[in-house]
Amino acid sequence: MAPKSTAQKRLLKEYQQLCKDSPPGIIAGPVSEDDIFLWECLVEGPPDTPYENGVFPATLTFPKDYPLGPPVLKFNPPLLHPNIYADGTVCISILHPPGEDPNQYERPEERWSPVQSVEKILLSVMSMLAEPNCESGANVDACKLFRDNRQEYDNQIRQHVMKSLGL
Amino acid sequence: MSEEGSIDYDFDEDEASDFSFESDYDDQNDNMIDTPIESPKDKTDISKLAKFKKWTTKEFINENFINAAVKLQNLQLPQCNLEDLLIMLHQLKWQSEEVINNYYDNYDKLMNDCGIPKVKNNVIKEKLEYSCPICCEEYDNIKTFQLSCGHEYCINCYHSYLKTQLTNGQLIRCIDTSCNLTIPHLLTQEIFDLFSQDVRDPAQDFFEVPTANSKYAHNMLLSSAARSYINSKKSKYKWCPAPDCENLVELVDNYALHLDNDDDDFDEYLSDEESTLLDPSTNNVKDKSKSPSVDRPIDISLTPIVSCGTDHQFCYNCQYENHLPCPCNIVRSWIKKCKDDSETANWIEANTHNCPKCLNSIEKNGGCNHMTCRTCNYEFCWICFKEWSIHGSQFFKCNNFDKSEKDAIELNQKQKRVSLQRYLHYYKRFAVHESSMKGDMKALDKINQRMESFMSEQSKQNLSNLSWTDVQFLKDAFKALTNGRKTLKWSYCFGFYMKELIFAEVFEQTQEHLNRVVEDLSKIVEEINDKKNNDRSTELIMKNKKALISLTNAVTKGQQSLIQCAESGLKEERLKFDLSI
Repeated sequence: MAPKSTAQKRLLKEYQQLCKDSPPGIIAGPVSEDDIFLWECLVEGPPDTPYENGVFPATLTFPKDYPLGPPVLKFNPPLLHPNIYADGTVCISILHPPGEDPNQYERPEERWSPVQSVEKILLSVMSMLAEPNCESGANVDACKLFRDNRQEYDNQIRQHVMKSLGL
Repeated sequence: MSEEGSIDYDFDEDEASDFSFESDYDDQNDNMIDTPIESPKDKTDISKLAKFKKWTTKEFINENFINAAVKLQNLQLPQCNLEDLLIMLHQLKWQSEEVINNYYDNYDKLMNDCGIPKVKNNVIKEKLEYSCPICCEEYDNIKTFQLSCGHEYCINCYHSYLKTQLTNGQLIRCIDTSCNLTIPHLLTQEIFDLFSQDVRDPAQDFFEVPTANSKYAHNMLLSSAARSYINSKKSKYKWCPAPDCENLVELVDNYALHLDNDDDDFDEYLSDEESTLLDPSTNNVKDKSKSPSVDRPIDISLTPIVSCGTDHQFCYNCQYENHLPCPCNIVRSWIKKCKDDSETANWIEANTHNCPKCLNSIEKNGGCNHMTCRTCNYEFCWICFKEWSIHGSQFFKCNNFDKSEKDAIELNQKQKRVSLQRYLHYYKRFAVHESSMKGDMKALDKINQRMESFMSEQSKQNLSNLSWTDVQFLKDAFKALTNGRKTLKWSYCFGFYMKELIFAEVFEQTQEHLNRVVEDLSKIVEEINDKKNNDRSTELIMKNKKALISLTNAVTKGQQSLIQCAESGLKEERLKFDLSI
């Protein structure tokens, strides 16, 4: 087998770590052994939110220079949420590549750095589901709905959850 | 550099709407420059509007960053060390007062924001058997780095991390995002140096007395900080647009007060100035309601041409090479014209017709008028553009022929063709001079190399009594040649927009003259550089010395007179532009 790159080594290590001891509500791993740069993961909806009981599949695509650059996380099917683009791509500060925050409104501890990990990303995503951030919204319609008509927002998400569970 | 020539604009404190002009005699800074177009003394010396200062990036860092820190240390904050002061300045965007204020008002917050710990223990260690948590490599023998926080990672990871962080010009913190500690400027460079291939020439540093400035001389983080600092102050600093040139020019004095926003303001300011200056009757009150597009003489001597430290002249307004004799607005419109494909579109318009059905462009290069579109197979008549079937089976019996319509189309096409030819005429000459200029640059490099080797040979063998000043004329010749070409090049842009007035002929004659001397000079240079004459190039240079010198002078003179011709022509409105072309 060809010698492994830094990114491959690191991803294998993270995969091992996640298998051994994964936090509750999160499952993640490479789709196949041929391509370690593409992962599939399942995120559980946090309790006491409209996302409760849902299990949301997503893909993680890692750059070749991982861990210098962050992966891209995309929910498939897309999820209604202020911080998720209509195509399912998640927009939170931990997933922003370095040097892309000209306004400096993101706190440094929330930004991408090589010491972050898949586990930390998925935990951030869970807390993002629980607490949407409308100030830097990715999906304007969802932002509006969340702000102006919370009931409808909750309803739509519950329906999505039911549908995804096949109920 | 003339001292008397520089003029400062000053707002009168009492009447803010009045301008007062006063000469500035206390010119302490020797790299202050004025707009280099010399105007005769008897003219209004208003032509020198602003004062500019040239910087190299290195000088800029020295003066604004390092010296600022040294000054703070010497005067206000002697209890701090230089390293911390640099971090504080960097954090507070290089404002010394801010540092002092924050230091005394809010010391803990400042230290926290800057990531300066109370006790410092930054170490690069040599380690046996280390497993780095970032790259997951198992090393037998590796350097690691940690700040006082103890977040230890291998030096390879730190190096790649620093490289990615360097781009945004801000302070670099510990890799661990929960940790706010800053990596000091010197340490970042130390890590970069561990990986850099080229070892700095010790001889180069030998003569430099090790000072604070020399320690920071090649600091990449400071360079990147300077870049982002300068880029954030676009109206005050402009980079030299020449390729690979790292120099910049600063707009000094209260002139800058008017330039807070963008270039358009600058333009407006310029033209407003002009109007008040040229017309003494306007009471010197800035009339904002006056539309800037009012037809008035253009004074190209006001074009802020500056020179960076290494002889690249450029227009501060456009941040484009010296484009005299063209004024800035003409340049902008010309560049736009050359850039977008409007002329391609013109050609298509002039020489093709669209298929009436699918609108594909068709050029008819012969044959009969029964056309069949290649794309949609539509058959039509080239004369009336109607369906062919209505013409029956007889050729050239186009019943639908409408002469007036046809004439209108043809006239339109003819006009387009003439305008296209006109554009191509000027563009060709513009482009030729541009490419020749590049060729001249290459020739210059070659000749310079050859002269250098020749001179060192001569001095080695003690043969020659030639000195470097004796061959200075060669450099001058090249400078004149490239400058002459540049002016010529832009004079064709000028010509393209010029209205056909009588004085235009004078301009064209002057242009022709410059063209001739430039070509003569270029010919000699080419001859010297010819491969056939490889062995005798030095001999040829010396032989042609006289001709070179006199042609150099002729070119410089021709160039000046062309610009002056344009300047006076525009001022007296004997030359005018037609921007509608």
